[in-house]
Amino acid sequence: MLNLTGKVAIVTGAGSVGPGWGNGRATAVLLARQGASVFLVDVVKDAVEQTRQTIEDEGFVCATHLCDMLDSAAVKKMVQACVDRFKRVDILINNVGGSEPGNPVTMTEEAWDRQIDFNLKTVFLGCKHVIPVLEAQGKGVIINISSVAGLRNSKERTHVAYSSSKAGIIQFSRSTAGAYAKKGIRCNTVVPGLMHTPLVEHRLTKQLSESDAASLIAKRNAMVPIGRMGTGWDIAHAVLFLVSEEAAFITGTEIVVDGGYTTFGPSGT
Amino acid sequence: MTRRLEGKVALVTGAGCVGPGWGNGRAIAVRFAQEGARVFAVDKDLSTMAETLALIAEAGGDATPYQCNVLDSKAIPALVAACVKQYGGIDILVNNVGGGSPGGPITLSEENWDAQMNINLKTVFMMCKHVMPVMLEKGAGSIVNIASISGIRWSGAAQVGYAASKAGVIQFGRVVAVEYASKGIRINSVLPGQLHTPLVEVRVAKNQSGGDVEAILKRRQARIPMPFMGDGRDTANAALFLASDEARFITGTELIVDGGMTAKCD
Repeated sequence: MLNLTGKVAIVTGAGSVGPGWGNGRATAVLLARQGASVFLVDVVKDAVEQTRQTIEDEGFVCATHLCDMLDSAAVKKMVQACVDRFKRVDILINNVGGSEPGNPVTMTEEAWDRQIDFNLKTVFLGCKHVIPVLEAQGKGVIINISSVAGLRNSKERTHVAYSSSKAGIIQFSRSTAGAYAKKGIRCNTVVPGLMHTPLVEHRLTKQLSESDAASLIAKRNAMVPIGRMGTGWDIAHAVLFLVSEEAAFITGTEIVVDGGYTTFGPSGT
Repeated sequence: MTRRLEGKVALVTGAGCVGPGWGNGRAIAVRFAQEGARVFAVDKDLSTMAETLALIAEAGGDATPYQCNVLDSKAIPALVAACVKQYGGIDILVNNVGGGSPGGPITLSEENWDAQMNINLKTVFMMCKHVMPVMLEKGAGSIVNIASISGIRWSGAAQVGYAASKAGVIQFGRVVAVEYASKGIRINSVLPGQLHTPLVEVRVAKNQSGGDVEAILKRRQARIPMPFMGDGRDTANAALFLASDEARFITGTELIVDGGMTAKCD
């Protein structure tokens, strides 16, 4: 029942910043393996090309589309392009986002706006333009990718806009789920914890001023009760379950994929 | 995808069903067997298990029925030993025994309060007490507790013992998850909403609407944003995901299966 044959899925942020399995790339590949035709959306050509290559090498179906998810007109065009190419949309995965450090005093107003737009408005715009297609079909499912930063503070650093926008995604999903439950559209959130994705090597090591990726990885593994960070595949499997018919009665809720991180009290080790 | 529980042994309590149709326990036992698990199916009344076993046989699955009232603490070591003897270990434990009793603090008797704590919460404790050592030996295991959205919300009628004990199940799962995370045991809860299981006909209607099944179904549907009611199969699919290796990084959390009910407050 995790079979997605005949389904069309839009995955935003379907590329990865480096080699390896980011949440978007792993999700796109897994949905394709389960039979969905996957419309791969990203703003970086090289990143999304690698995802396309992987899916096509395995003999599955996808198409790429470059789109800045912050540009409403471009998002509208992207959705139309998917409908033109695959005739329908069944699944939307909103997977664009990223964090910038700062508390209310240190963060500039511009950085705040940028964060809210990048993490939350991209979800809004994705839904704004995809939901009419789902509604016309009488059925559809949306998964938004949030973060445990939307539920808890991180001892690594404060990123107030990231936390606020990721919390916003959770309630955005619940609200949208309520609005469209009677119309056959489900909307849920996957909440990743500390993940070992290519972002760790490529962005976080620099941002957290760690001397090298290895020490950051060891430190982050130790912060998770299970003893290691998750991977893009852990997110992909949660997404797959939620988009499948097995989750037909699940809407307006979250799956936290964090190895017990948010359950851990502040007592530390 | 190969079968998702291939090679696993699953112990499921409350695997029978009070009537024909899809109760949570029956659906879990059948669904797990379909996915390749060998199912040690426990119920206090084996006569409720005939349909469960027939459905598993039909699916070509492997199940062993075992009669045990898990409220009887002394009977649990023998139950666990029988499962280990039959299948060589326990990879998955689903704690599915439970049930509601109407009444708030004034109307619920002390005896019924105690009974609610015992059936909904202590059964989880006692099963974990005896099954977790088996999992620790192997350094791996997944436990799924069937709680209820009654543990996090008012659900339309007073059942304070049920609500408090189901909330207990949720927090029991979280703290045990953290303690055992580094030892390879995951533990999570499924929170079913108001499902249409055989229990509605047999017990809920009697407790809450003087036996009028249509009235209770209509009232329950009105609370659910989605235009239908789920049944035991929805619980089973959620439990299957959490029990499987697909959820290897998921522990100490809950999966709500309620058609959007807890996301609203009116």
